[in-house]
Amino acid sequence: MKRLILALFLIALSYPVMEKATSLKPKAEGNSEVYPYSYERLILTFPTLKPLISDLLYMQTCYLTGNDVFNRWKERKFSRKEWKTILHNVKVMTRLDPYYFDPYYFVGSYIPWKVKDDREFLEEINNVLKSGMNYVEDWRLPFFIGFNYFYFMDDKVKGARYLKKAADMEGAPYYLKLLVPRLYAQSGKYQLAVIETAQELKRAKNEVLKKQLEKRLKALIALRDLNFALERYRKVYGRCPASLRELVERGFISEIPQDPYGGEFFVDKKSCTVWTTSNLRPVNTSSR
Amino acid sequence: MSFWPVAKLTFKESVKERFFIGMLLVEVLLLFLSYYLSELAAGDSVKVGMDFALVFYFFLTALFAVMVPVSTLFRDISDKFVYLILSKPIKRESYLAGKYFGSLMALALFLFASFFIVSVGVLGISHFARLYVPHVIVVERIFLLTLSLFLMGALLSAFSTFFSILFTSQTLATVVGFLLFLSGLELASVKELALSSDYVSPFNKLLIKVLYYFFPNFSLYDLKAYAVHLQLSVSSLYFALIVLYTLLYSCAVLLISTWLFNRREL
Repeated sequence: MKRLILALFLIALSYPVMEKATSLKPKAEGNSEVYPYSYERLILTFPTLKPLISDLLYMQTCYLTGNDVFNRWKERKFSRKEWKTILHNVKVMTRLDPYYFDPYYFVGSYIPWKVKDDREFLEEINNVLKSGMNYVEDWRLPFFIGFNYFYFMDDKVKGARYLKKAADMEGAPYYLKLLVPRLYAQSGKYQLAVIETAQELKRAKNEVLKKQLEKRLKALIALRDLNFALERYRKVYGRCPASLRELVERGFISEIPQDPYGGEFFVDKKSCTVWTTSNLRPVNTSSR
Repeated sequence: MSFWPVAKLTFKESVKERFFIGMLLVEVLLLFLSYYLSELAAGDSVKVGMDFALVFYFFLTALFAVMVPVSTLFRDISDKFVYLILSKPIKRESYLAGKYFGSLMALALFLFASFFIVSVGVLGISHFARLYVPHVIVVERIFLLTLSLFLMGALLSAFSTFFSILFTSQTLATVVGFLLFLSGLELASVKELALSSDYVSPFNKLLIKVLYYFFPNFSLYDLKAYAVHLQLSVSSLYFALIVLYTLLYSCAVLLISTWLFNRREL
């Protein structure tokens, strides 16, 4: 019994010694190096642990990125090369466990903002997300692809195509269905926008969405008709009209329709197309 | 059925061992560790927690399947208990079969208890996780993984029995058993990489193929990903085939073991 008490006493005594030693221990700075991992080496080293290694790699990537976000390494930010290494590591993660959603979410929601002017890089990000769509059924994957095309790569048609895929998937927010026709319209595909909206209107069950789609359809039909009239005018006179009034005066349209969003239709002389000041949003909240 | 009394005795001995309870306690501790490790992952931490918990479950089962037959056989030999049993009208084959089935019964009980511990553990991880979208856990999938682990354990126990007879050192038999398990896991990946690579010579490709068919393939029993991801499915044919594979391979190894045991001087 005495021995046991003595042993417990010695253990208790060791704690303050350990605390003191810990406080004196030289502290290494956090390693900020982004190391590229090899899929082949990883699966040879950890054959049956593929999903677990994917988790660990994701944790390390989150740690490194988190430090970059919060400026823990004050002397530097990640370079383009390092972001490429991170994308490479995400590809390794998704190869190790293609059903793991979080790496796709990370690559879709965060990396594009860091490399927004690099088209090739953005295309590579989209390819990772596209391959993820074969394994993970989540609307956010096509949404990120569509968003990248639309926002960073200025390809509204491809953007609309992927956003439509996202909008059709389970769990997607209803406003995506409104966004798709607007993108088609902004890219000059008015007829496509009208068809898309009319189809959605047929399928919609939610009353709020139905009303919004009806309003959108009305505006898109007006835009489509005005643009068709403008095109006919151009063919006849070989120039762009100064205003929509000119289309009325020359008999191409009977009157200028009203924008259901409260804006006004106008001729954009730069692109020689008709657009609206509302930008297909209620005028009091309109921005962009 | 002369092996049955030996099997019963082996089962009772193995369950009474501190090792049995110790392994279950380690299982519980590793589940706590899985929870804390899962907290480090941003996003679906339940998936990460499950990955950790099931990997620990997988390796603890392998360790159990290697250690129980080895320890029980070596204990019999070192305590001279084996002479007492073999002096009765029990054949050496029956003694060995009894040892093997006794170990399997202990493994079944260990897996039964582990299944409950792991299921409660991952449900607990899911309960405490802070997620935007909950991760669905299907306990039936963990049960199917447990069944596949039992099959893996059955094959591994057969090999452990074989190594216990082949080697005179308990440590050596345990280490070789576990290394065989790791090799059996690795070879499927090695083959996949080697055959698709242009840098591997035709001779090495052939060598890898030969090794692949020579070693037992333990990667067949790895249904961890199936337990975690609901998109994956396992066909009943696949399961029937791994049952058949286990039966064929285990019987073969046990036959070699009994042949060797009949010729071994105790």
